[in-house]
Amino acid sequence: MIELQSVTKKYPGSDIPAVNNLSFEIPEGEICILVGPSGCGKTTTMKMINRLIVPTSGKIKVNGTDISTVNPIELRRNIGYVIQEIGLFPHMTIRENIAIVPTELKWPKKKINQRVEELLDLVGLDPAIYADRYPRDLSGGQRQRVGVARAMAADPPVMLMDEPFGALDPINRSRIQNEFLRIQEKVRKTIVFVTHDIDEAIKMGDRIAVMRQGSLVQYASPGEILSDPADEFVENLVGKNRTIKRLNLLKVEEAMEDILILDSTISLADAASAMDKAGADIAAVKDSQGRFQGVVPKKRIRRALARSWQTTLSELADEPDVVVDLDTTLHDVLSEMMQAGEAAAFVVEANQCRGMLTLGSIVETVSNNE
Amino acid sequence: MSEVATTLTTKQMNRRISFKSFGEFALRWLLVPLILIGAGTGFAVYIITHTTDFIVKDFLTYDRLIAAGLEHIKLVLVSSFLAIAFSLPMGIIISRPRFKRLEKWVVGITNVGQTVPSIAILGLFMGFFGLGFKTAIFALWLYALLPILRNTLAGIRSVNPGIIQAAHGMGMHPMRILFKIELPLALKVIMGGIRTAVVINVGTAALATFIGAGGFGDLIVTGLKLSRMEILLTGAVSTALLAILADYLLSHVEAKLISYGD
Repeated sequence: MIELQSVTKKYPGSDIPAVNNLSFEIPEGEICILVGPSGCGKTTTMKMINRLIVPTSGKIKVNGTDISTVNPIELRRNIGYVIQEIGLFPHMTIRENIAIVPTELKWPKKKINQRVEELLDLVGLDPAIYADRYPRDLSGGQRQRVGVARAMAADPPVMLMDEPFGALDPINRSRIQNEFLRIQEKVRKTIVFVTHDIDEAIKMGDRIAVMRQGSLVQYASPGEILSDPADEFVENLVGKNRTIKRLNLLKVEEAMEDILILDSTISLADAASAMDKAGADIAAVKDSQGRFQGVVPKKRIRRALARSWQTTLSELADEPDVVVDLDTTLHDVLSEMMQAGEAAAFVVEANQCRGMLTLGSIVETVSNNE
Repeated sequence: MSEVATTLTTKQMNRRISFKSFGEFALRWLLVPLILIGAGTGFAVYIITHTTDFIVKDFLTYDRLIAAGLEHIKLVLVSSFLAIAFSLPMGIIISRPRFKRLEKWVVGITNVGQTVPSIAILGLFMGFFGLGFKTAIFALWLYALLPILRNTLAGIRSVNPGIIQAAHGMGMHPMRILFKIELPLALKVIMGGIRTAVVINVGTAALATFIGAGGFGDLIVTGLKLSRMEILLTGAVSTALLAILADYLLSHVEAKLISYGD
């Protein structure tokens, strides 16, 4: 848990405090997003938590300990720190970069190597390929994954992330955000995350602290920020298209419809009558081992029957264009559907079709959540 | 031929590869130096064996050439070593935020050393140290300070502040940040300063002859005095080749040290 109690930071030579009488709490295991325009004091606030910046007045407690009583070097070794990709040391290999804090803590070499490989696996980079490369050999997205792995090296309970995905293109950013949320699901760190991108804040945050000119304007869950902005400033920050932003908050799970699943071995006539009975226009096909093979529209089966084609259900089934998993956001599903020009998306996890999404089901879910 | 070899080797040096065989080692480190030394020796031998002038024959002996060469190298090595030993720590110290106000003074003083013509420094300090080796070393040392000091500072300053802040943010000790992050990243620029200093010193050491400290300058000055082109050229060519050799070797040390290249 992180507690800020009337924290103020004044820089010498400036009358207006960079951070003004800030008080809030971040519960353990949650992601708190600090968001606001540049110069609003969000980065200063974050840097005060690991004492890169010392507050002029006020108190900050991390897991109950007043940080001003702790040696800053000791403190920082217990707080993971991720910044934009420039933060990797260019003259060290990926392994050496990730090993920085464990090396400072004088872990035995074997344990360090083990940990490096474990972390690279966690962030989805093959240690055999990447461990001994230099940062310049990696793409921006890969470097950012290494940055996250490095911050988690000594398994700190708290992590600070300063616009960690800011330098990435939208597609890579969305992918790494999803991966990061999945990792957080497992590790449950207390995270302070700075961004100026409100969409990122809504998607990543358990709580969002909206800041302006050094003060806290609103501190609430993303849903509350969207439905009940504290003032005009927050309203403008969130923007007019709040309903569309809500898509970032909703997961596939919430908008998913059931889908009829057919065995690939049954006859076309049986398949057609099963679909009639269920009132389904489209069905998923699974093979004898229960693995997802594809989807087939009723129209296609009907046509095959009418022309008495010698064919099977698996031959008629197509791999769908848009395949998503349960924790994809509706925002990402919708943009994939539009990119592919499809009106439906299919949810496949562990080789099993779990359901489908249509434009209708998405619209309904969003309006029910308003 | 040697040019092809040089570009090939520098390209390879940018990667961290250990020497696979003596042949490879020889190709990378010894080929160009041997060509340079061979050219210098060949030039001297040609002049000594082909001259008919008895003054030249009398002055230009193998013993004298070797002695001058050794003196010259000694002057350069000792003065450069002392300059590095002083400038590198000094540069590091004044790059620390708390000693920032020293920068003006230290750089100012070394700037003066660089501004005063070398021949004048030799003359000035002759009064204190007398003739000979010590005075020459002092003048050369003073001359080499600035490039090394300036580049040490510039190198450390050129390290991306974001990288240093990341290191602080992860709880690295300031001393470790200096040795593990700042100096390795500044090394390329620092080595550039050392190269400049050493190459300048090879040239300036030719003036040491005026205070009786020897070196290839002896040949150049004697050649001028006696109007013997052969003697003058032997000294000048040797000095020039030595400067190229020093630069070549240092560029290789640099490439070897900076393993992550680009």
